[in-house]
Amino acid sequence: MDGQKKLIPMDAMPVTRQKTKFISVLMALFVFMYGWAVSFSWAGKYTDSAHGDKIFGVKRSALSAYGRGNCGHCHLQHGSIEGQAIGPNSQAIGPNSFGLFAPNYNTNVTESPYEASDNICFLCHGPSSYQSGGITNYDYSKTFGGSSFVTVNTIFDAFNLKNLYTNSSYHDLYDIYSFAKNQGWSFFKDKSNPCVACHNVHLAKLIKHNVQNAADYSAVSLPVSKNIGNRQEGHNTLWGDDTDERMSELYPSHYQAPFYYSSQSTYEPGGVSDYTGQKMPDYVTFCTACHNSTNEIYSTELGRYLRKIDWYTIMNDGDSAEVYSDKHGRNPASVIIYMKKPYVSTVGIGRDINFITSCTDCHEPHGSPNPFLLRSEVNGVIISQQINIDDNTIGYFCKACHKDDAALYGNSSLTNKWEGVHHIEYDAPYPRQHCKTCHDMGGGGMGGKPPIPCLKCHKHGYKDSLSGRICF
Amino acid sequence: MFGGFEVFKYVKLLIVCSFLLCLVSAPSWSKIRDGIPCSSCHTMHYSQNGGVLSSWGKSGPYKALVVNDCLGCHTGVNNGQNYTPYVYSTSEPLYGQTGTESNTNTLAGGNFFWVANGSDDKGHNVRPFPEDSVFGNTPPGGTALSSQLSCAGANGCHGDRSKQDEFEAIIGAHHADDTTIDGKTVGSSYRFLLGIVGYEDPNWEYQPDVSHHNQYKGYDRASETDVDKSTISYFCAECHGYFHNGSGQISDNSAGWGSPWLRHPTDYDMSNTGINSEYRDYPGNYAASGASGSNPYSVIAPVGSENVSAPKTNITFQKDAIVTCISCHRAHGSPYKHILRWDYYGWPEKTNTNGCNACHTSKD
Repeated sequence: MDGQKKLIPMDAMPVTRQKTKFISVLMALFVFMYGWAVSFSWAGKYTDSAHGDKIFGVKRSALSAYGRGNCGHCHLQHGSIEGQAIGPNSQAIGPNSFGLFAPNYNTNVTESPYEASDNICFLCHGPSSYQSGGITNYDYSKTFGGSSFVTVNTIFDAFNLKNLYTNSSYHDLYDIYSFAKNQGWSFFKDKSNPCVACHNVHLAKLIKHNVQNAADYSAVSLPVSKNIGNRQEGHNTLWGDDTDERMSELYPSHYQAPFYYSSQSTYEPGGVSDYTGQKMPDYVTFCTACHNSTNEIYSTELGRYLRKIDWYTIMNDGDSAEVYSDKHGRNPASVIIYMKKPYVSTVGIGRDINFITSCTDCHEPHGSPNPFLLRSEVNGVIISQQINIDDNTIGYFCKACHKDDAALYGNSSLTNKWEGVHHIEYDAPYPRQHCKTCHDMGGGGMGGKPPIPCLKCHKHGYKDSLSGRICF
Repeated sequence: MFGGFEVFKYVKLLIVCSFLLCLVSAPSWSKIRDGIPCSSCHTMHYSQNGGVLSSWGKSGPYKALVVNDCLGCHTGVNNGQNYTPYVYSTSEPLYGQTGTESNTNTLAGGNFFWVANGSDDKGHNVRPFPEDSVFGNTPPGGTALSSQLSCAGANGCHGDRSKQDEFEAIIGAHHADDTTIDGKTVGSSYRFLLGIVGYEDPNWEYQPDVSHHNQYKGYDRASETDVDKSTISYFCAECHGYFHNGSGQISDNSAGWGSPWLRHPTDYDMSNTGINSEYRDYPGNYAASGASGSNPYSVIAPVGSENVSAPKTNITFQKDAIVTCISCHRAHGSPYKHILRWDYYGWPEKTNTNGCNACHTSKD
């Protein structure tokens, strides 16, 4: 009224004081929570990563002035080192995309064999590593399966097994690049490296030093965004490091981890006592981010699009679908399966049917001496036979988990014979007649008929019209 | 006592004297503050009582009748009260981890101590300090100078570079009206860097905090050849050109500007990044002392702005989160290789402090 503020003694406004106190407490709480949240989000992601680790992280031999883990081992802020844009081997070192010390990825090379210079990652993760002391990366079979069979020593080797094995396979980098580029993922640019489709190089952890804790030390990130509760997973987070990103959580009590090499009591990853997948990243969700029932993925090596994969839908054999849901996934076996340990009720999770498997239980991520990235060690067993795609030698792989006639009937001469599960045992799908319908030559006694190439029926998303069964 | 005429005479004399004083003494709107006697800087005959004062330079007489050269006057130890900004100290200055802590005594440009004492890659190699053992007189990213770098002059940073001599390049600037930093003259340019604008902290960032610091001019440019000649980064690029601009030099983005970068961008506004990008968390753990609110300013890794009328206390991501050369480097010198503001080379193996993380907040 008179333009002056009316002063009221504090003790004359108890309600206001209480309100003020309440608001103050709220504000303090907010400030604390905000600070906590902020500090949590600044929890040192890069320095916790394999590349940023101050003990094991990046350290190029030629750059002694830079601390281990320093950005400068990969990135040149000004496209040169000490003013030089030419490296010790006369190669141009800058400027390159992302300020890298070498060209990121050579899109002109569409298939293996690769040169180290085709991918900057190979310059350190290869036999002539720039990294002080070099870097050894074995394959999945040895690192997490414990295999005594050394197929590769570096990532570069894994992508170049074509040089050593006729039927080798690898995750074609150009195919990954092409697919990723077409997905419109915001993190993947024209000049990106295909490795970053799976790995965030600033987050990927030192998993090889923590094989028994592979989930906490995950090296992969989802290329797609996935909302889980209040958080969003994707390229900027690790996949597998949260407890609900483990195989044990994908389909609870249905994942049985395979045996660790040469063991009947320890399991993957790394020979842990846990068999439920609590230590294993949910590689199914990870891999099916791309390899799912909808994506069209072209394979330069195969000269065709890859088969689509439905690892999730539960359906009956009689159901119709564009992509039949795999029984190695959540879709249960129809009646009975004849399995080896630990996929029997007396071991592990206590069931003998309706398992879900992890992609890595069978496949290598980078490269394999076998076709289709099939591992060289499975369920504790080394696959020493050459595997071909056009005969039944893949059976040597399958029998690491499934019972062939040798296992069913205790007769080693029936190794990799499969008459029992197909024609003899309970729920066998095919009658022992009209042999020629399937077997080209027909006739002969038990195990004497020409084998059928396994891949004729047993492949992702396939239903055999003769038996009417989904058979993968 | 006095007649009217005499009073008039004395008043007239007073007016004339005042006018003369105004001419010869420092007006309060120049670098030379009120009350500083001319003899602090000038000598008529480069002689006092037949000799040279111990506080004077020994290579005189100097042009503009000054008592010392640039470095001679700007050598000392800063204490927050000194009128002259000291850029060189004869004993190692207190730099701390980033040159901004409360126990430091260096200024925004850092200090030439380290380059003067055996580390030729820890300072700009101005005369009389040693030349750079790797680059010689060729600034990285640019072309060779005709002779060694100097404080001012044709091969210098301060003053008018069309003038060969460093005194002539800077002459008069200390007395110029600098109430408006418009870059039009040496005296009205940011820190006498001709053409450059910015807000000048009156204490040259001695122990800066969120409200007391320089505000560097930046520019939210649209291409790698688009430049604003008044920015601090453009100034650096006058020698270190390719590190700032040039076709095919900065960006490998097919649109011509943006990630993937070929070189670390400068005069790039982080406001152009996605709302959820790590850059929106600037300054991470590196907020300046006294900070409050969202995205407080960092004096460890300062960002520039298009509006430099006053120091920013908070970043709003509206043309005020602009990466500059000065975001990472000190202009004069630092205890760290390549004049970096923090021990970048030692991180993360030997130190946890890395100002890069003020912007690259998820890479700490």
